[in-house]
Amino acid sequence: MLDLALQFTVNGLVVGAFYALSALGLTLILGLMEVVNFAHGEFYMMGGIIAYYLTGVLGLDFFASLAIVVLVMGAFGWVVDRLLIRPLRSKDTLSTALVTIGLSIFLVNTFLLLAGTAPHKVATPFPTAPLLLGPVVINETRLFAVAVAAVAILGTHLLIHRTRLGGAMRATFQNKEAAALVGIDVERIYGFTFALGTTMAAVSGALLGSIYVAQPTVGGLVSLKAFVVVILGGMGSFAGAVIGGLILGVAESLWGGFVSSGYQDVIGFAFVILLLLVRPYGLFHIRSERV
Amino acid sequence: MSAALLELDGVSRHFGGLAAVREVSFAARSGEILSLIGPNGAGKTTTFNLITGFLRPSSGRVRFRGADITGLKPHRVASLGVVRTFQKTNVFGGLSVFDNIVTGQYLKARLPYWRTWFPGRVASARDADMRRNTERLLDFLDLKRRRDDPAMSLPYGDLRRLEIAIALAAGPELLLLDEPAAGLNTAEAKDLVRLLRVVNRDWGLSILLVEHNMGVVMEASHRIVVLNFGEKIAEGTPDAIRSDERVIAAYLGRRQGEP
Amino acid sequence: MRGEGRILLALLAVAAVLPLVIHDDYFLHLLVVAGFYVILASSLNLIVGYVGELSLGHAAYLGLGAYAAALVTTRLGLSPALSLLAGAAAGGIGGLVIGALTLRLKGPYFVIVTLSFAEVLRLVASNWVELTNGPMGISGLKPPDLALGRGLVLAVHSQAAFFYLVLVLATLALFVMYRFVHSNMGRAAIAIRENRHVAQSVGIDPFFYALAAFVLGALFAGLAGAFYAHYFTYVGPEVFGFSFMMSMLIMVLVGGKGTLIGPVLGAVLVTLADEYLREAQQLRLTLFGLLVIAVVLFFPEGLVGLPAKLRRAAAMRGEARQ
Repeated sequence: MLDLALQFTVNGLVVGAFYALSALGLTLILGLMEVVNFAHGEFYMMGGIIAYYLTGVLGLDFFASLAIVVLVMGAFGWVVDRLLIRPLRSKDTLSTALVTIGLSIFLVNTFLLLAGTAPHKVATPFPTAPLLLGPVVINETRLFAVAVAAVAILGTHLLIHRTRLGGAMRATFQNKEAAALVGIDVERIYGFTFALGTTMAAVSGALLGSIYVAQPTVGGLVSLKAFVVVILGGMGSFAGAVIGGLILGVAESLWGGFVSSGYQDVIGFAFVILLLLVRPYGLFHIRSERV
Repeated sequence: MSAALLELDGVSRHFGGLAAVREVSFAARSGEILSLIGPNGAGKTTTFNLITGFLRPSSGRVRFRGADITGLKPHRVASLGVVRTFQKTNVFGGLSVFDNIVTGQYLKARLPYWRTWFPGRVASARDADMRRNTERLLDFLDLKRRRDDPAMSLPYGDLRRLEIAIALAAGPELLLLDEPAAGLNTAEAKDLVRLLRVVNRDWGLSILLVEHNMGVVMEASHRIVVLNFGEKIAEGTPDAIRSDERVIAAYLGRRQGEP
Repeated sequence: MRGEGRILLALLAVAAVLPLVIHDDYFLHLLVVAGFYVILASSLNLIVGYVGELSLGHAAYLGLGAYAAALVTTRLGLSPALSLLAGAAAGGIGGLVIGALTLRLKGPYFVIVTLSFAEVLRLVASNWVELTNGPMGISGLKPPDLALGRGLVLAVHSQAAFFYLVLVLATLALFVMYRFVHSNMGRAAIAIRENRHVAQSVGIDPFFYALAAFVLGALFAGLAGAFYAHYFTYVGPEVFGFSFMMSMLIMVLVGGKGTLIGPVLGAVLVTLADEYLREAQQLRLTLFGLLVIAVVLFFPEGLVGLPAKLRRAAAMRGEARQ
């Protein structure tokens, strides 16, 4: 019983690491830019499908493929921001949410046309043989993917807190007018932030595609989970997204293992609804109510 | 000209550890134009928000016609007859000028909810009333030419008058205006003073005014309350305020007690 | 009566004679589906278009209405006419509860939490097998014959009869919405959309009027759900799904949000386009995605706003020439 619980917890932490990575991308876009981005799951999906093509079809090395995913999806995110989000910057939540819903429909179906409905697996150089850590079973690919996710999270953290660019980002989202006054190119920062968020979703998708599968229709659920994690952790909170992602992963895994697998996906939504009813300020004191 | 219409009794508001408004007390009398002045950051707009329910006081009471209205929701305060405008111009941008003023009359147009689906004569009579009243306000505020234009297309001066028109349409007893002269040229500011006088004298509205334009304040006000760093430092007639040393010091940027 | 009312009446008159000239059952079927979507899209428009809040949980009320109708007819054996009422009531009550809980939340939170409610209901519908039959759904619903009196029954069996039924329901819905939108209540709802602070300062309670529009919208979504259940004689968990949400949202946007005619036009056009592009399954949805993007970026007022937009453009050209 205890061993089983331990196993479910480890499984949950693995999934949670990816929830965290994709939610980190969303917390930049939703929390800082206030864009309710419904295409987030599709960015994730694109990461997986592109990685599959590079490794599985073109036979490229996994790491080279990951680097290409980062570049391609970064550029893609920047273009999306430039063409679709920027014209609506001064408008309300409704407009940007709607435009990303349109983008999401477009991307899912374009990729269905291109890649079909079949699930694809991203090839990695690691053996899939099970690794025994005491009573817990985990395979090397998983361990490796989690490690890459951790590195990506750490790297983003350093980028935001240790570089000039990160400083400009923080300044912009604290006070746009003041940032513009001291000479920060605010539009460039917005574009970069969106690109960064997009890339993180895509990397998460490529990594998870190596453990499970990449599939064009997976995006909707991924978006929803990322929303849930961002709300749990607090909009724009970096630590919140990481902790929220891990908590959701473990909670789902334990619930699915011990109670009912049918209701596994309810947990996140139930969390969010309860949280906002009990603590409308969010876990991290960010005001979600209005006057 | 003597009964207290609005009373603030030791009202404070803290943001974190900072007091934006501290122990402020004053009364606006029925029928007067009272101005609230002070340097930037003195707490004037915060005081407006505390009166109209957009903010809840940390301590102290607000009374209107003797009744405690502290912490009531903004729409409840409005329904008692206290209507405000905003510092940054605020109108119903997507609606026509006419519809803006019609919407402003919400309180007067209220009927039992079932009348929404079975309007009958009562509702059409009410509708006709409202249209007449709207035309009258359009005329009064010189917005007739703009009647059918969307509010967001108006030039600045018209926009500021539309904002006042909406507030007047709500039928207030006490009108709170937050910097109505900001951005107006001298001629427009003179018109504003005339307008305030008419509304005050002929329509019998009491007015609480926050304003930086001293010309407007001195000409329009019966009395003035001066705030500085969230505290009341003076109260009196325009003449008395003009020669008050604390006020002059505050406006020259010195704290009390400093040389 | 205002221009909008006249156009709606004209559309109603045209619709009423359609079954007399169209005898093709397949085309009538499309019109019935379009009628269903007219009710559904119009109900969403009350919230998205008039109050200006993006409620992505609107499929919740559709689903509640459909399941309520299915359960009261198959389990309780109530008459189908009553089940339409039950559907509307279920939707309305769902809207009251969910709206009361969510309408205090700020923009992004509101969007996500309303969506969460619909997802929770969908998962409950797939997992509570004893009540809902799980993913199998509830089938075998009877057509909604209306008992007009002893022995006098208005049978709704043919496509034409279903068409007239949905026409009556849509007319009822649009009439109720028309009166609402053009009343003081409707003006209050619009005022909240246009400027919440000014609305409050002239005495409007934003929460109350947003909730009123929300409940009204949910009620008619529930009615649409009940009609759906009887027409297709089957209800499954997919009624809570995001694809219905997408469809109605596209209809509202394409037609023009914040007008009564917009969603009507949007519902009819999108239903027909959807059917005739059916062969190009994914390509069709790809195009819909692009359409949504284009509408939001370039035609935020939708089809209804197009004439005014063209007029403005023409006027600008005229001015430029002078």
